Amino acid sequence: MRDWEDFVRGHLELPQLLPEREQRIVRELAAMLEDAAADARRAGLSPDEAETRMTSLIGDWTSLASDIQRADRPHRRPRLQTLQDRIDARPTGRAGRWTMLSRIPQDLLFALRMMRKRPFFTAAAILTLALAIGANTAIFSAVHGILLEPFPYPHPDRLGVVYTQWSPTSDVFWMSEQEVQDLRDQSQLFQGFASLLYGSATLLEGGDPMRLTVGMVSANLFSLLELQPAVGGFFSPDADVPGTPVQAILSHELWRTRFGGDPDIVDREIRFDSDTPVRVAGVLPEGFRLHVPKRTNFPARIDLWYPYQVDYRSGQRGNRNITTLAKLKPGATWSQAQAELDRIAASLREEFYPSDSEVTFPAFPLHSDTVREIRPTLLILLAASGLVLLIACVNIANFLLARGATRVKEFAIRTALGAGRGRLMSQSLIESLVLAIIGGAAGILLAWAGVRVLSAYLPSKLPRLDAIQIDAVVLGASTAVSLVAGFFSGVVPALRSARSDVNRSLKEGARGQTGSLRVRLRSILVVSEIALSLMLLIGGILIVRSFLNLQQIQLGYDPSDTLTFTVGLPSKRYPDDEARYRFFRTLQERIQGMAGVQSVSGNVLLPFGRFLWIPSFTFYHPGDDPSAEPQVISALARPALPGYFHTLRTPIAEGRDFEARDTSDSERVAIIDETLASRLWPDSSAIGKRLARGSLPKEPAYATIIGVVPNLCLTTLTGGRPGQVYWPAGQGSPGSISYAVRSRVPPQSLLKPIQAEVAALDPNLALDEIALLKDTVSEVMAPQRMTSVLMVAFALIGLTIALVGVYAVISYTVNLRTYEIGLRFALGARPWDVYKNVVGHGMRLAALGILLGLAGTAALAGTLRSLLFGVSATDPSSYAAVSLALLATASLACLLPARRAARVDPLAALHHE
Amino acid sequence: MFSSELKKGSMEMLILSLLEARPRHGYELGKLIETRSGGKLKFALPSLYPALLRLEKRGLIKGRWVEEPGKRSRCFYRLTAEGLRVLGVKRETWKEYVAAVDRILGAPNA
Repeated sequence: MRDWEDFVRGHLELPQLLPEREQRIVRELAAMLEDAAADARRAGLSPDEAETRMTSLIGDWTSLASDIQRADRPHRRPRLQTLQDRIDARPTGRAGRWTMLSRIPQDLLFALRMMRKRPFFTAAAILTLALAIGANTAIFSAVHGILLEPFPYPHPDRLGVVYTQWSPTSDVFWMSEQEVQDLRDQSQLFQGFASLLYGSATLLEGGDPMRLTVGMVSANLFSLLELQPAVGGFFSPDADVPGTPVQAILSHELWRTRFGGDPDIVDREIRFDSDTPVRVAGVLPEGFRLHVPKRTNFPARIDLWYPYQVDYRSGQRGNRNITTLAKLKPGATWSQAQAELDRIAASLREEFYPSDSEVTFPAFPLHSDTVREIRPTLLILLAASGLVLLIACVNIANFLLARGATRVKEFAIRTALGAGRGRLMSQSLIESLVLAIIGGAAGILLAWAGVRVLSAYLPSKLPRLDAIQIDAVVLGASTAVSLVAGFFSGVVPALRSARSDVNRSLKEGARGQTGSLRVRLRSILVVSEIALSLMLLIGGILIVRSFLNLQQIQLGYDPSDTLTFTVGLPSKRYPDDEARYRFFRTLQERIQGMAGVQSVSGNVLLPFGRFLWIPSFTFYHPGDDPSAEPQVISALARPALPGYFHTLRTPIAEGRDFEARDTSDSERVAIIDETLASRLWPDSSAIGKRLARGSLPKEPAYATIIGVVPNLCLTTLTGGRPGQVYWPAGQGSPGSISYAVRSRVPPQSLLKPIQAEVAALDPNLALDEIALLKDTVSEVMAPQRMTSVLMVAFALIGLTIALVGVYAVISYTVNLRTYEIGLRFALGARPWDVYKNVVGHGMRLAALGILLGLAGTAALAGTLRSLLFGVSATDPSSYAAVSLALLATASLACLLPARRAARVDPLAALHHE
Repeated sequence: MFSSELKKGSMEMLILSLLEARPRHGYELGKLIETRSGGKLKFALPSLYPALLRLEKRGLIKGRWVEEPGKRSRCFYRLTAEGLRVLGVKRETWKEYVAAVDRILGAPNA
């Protein structure tokens, strides 16, 4: 008699079903087959025939199995379980290391199942880690690209910049041609010095007239940088000798966009608005950028390079307009080089600078000088993101500890049954590592997206913006950080899980001695979370206050509703002041007549304009004593069109603005700012006093001061502002003027009509630097704005995580103390007492954390100083406000558990286990 | 003899109606369908059994193992309240369907 169950089991495979379910189906089918066989025998078949017929009753077992499994869905096994069994069913390997390793897939699966059982916790943990690791990755990509990656030139560590400095306390400044030549003549330790200047030119080929930013450099620049051209060659060594036919080197982008990447570009002649056509010598490699410090004001993007043809020995020593790039010889150090430069400066001082007796030539390595300004910000942001990660790890450790408490008995049993401590620990650790790796992967994605989004908002003047990317180094660092975070989060809970005292754990479970130790551990963790969070918050508040202070700075002018642009005139067609001024004035009048224009004027340099004018030395007469030696002062001096201050809405403090009548035929006049006025004539009005432009020994040309204006914010928001002198463009016209057009209509709408006017006056001119003044000023504040936003974001993330930690610990404590709370109620306590008790406990933790945090912040406050403006790093009001806010929010976080505690039913609690 | 489409559509209804009177086990159901239809409807085990499981999953029938002395225990299925309700709906639908088809078949070509 056939065993039908064996028969069915042998043919029917139901791997997706639970064992019990499979058993039931096998039984049922076996019963049905048996009945059918019995019927067949009754119908007259022999037993064997009956059996044979029954065996073929079910033809397609596979199809039946899949129909059954499909129909039986709710009883299906979870996939992970099936996977687990498959792994368990594998034959066990040899004991020892291989067994350990082979356990890892098991432990991994175990960890995954634990995570799936607590979806909320898992999601929260992964999200927390993703945010923290993402923030770290994004900031690190900036730190790596900007601060760590060397410049993409050969031997970048030998490149540097040399400046002139009046005295140890003054700002550094450009050098003059003579000074550069002196260095070339006298230096032994430098391989070479390259001069850099910048200007504009209008290109008349390949399309509409286009304004180019031009770099004028000494012939040795590109060989000093050891570059290879993409096409053609670089300057010949004598290219910067006056009289040599001028060659030009194109930037790769200009070659591509304007000349279509013409392979025959070399030796082609191209036309500019100036002079004779220029021959192209070559094209720079793609993506080449000359990285120089922002304080040299050298433009980040150069379209075209000329040789700077000047006789270095015959120019004025005082005319300082050169950015000097220097390269050390192999083997020389920067300290040696500086010592040599100091000696050269000392020898020059005797001969050429009697009054400026402290003149020196400080030299700085190129990379560190270029990133000098941004370095503190980046490092502080990195530290802040590190704090956020620390808070996140502490939080997750906290939660794993709590979870460990509920599994105390399980661990004890497993230890009693022989599971090694190492095994338990590794399982705990693996879970936190898995969380961290998943969180890290999500974080990297977040960082990648974040960097793309943020790059659009980063100030364009940031050095090495192009180097910020998630590359192999950043990915590697991020992965390492994830693993460390996972380890750090899991190590304490893992140690706790392995150290359980077996007997006690089995008897007491979560509530025993181990419970109170756990509470203490968790409390310590929460206190540290609060402390770290406080540090982040205070840092954030201080930086935000600095930013707000920046926004309040009095500019001295109104940047709203103002369109700005620059027009440059080629000297060939506008050879003298008269011709230039005529053009500028005509254009000004034409624009003034346009509909929607409220007022228009111009200056050689508008606030935060791209090019900084060279200051000239000016004399002044001390009082009315003509025999007294005129004193030399340095000031920023600029020619301006009539109505300049009126257009900028700068209030005239004394006297008047420039007017149309201030031309070369009328009295020479000047306007100075209040700083200069009070410095030069502290006891009387500056109006009517005289000032001269020029330098010894030429005959000074005196101008009468006719107006005093406030000191304008022109080149830096927070730095010192040198004195400012203005003269009318009609009495000395520059080659280019930046116009400011204040309009009643949206300023951009005036652009096309203005371009038409310019083209009507001269079709070979192009507008340049077109911007809204408002945007220009706003862009200056962009770094601080970005830093504020990021710091606030980090602080809020850290705070949220910490508060969740507080809530969790207090909640946990309440659970543990349910018995005790029930007892208190039974003994007559009121709900309010329990409330106070619970919230009080939470606030004590928070207060402790706040104290620690205050100490930590005060200790580290110095590092923030460089980022702050108008607020002290130890500003008491900020510290106090943040502490109180944190205390308040922490107590809010305790409210929910406190409410739960107050509602405890005494009877139920006393039976609680 | 009847197409599998027709049979599939009515199988569940037939099972439910046979369980209306009293609980039965799987093999019994198959045999009853064959005998009561005069041999015209035959449901093979591979189609009948999954149908039973589906009906049980939907909560229309419920199985219970019954020990009979001397015999192998069998799983007897009974109709649930929901199953009774659904059976009623299916019956009505079937009647309407048949009537509609009859009207079309019987009507002269118009």
